[in-house]
Amino acid sequence: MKEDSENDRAEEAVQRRARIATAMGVVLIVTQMTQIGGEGSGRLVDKVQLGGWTLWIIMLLLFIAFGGALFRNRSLYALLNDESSLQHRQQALASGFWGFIVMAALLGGVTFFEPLAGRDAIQLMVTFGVGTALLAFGWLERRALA
Amino acid sequence: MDKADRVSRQRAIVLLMLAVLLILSAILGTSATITPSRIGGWAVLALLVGANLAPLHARLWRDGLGSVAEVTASHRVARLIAGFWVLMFAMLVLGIAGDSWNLDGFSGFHMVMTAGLVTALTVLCSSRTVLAS
Repeated sequence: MKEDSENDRAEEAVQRRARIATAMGVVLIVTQMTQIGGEGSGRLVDKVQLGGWTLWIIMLLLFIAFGGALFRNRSLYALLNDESSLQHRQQALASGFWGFIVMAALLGGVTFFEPLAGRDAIQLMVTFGVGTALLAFGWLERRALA
Repeated sequence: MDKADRVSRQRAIVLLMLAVLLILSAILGTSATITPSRIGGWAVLALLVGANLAPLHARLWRDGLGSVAEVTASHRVARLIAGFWVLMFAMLVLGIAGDSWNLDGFSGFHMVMTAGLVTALTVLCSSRTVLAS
């Protein structure tokens, strides 16, 4: 009985995780795209913004690395990180790598026509890499659940 | 099988040389010393490395080197993951410290792409060397 309820909780958590991963990927890419090109003159507000962005990225990386089950109990953690989930995570990270490379190549091309600040370039690459990984993870999980 | 092992070992050596060349070309092509030929050379090397990492490459090799390609394919995702984490770490460091280094967009892209590709390629080489030994 207890095992059944734990399985149900795990299934709910997996569905929620797939939705959250997709939503976070979209929100990350959309919000960061709108923030590129600011003055970045070293004001306090820029430093706070950079700190917030770094923290957000670290949280998202922890989400990917632990499959969103970091603060769950041991048995639920194991259920949430089964073999297929681990495989999805690995595929998502590989997609994130290609996301990085594609965005880096695009930005490299852009710098020949328009000067680009280093921080903006890095922010775009990280955003696109992590966003791609999240979207891929969400899509793979949703496909497995369907 | 022996032929496959030999070819795999030779490929690992070639890829390792590619990685070294990519690093050298990145060092030579920093924004202070940039010339079209240097960035062109770096771009060709980066493209070669990228092509070696792509899944398409594994499929192309599968015909001639079936067994090794199968095992290598299982290492493909692992090396891309290593590349992902190195890229992430490099970018977070550059993002935080970039202002004090006065980093421009071109140097950022150049350094990050070199670091990611070289890591992924080195992991690939080590996995092939293990296979061949």
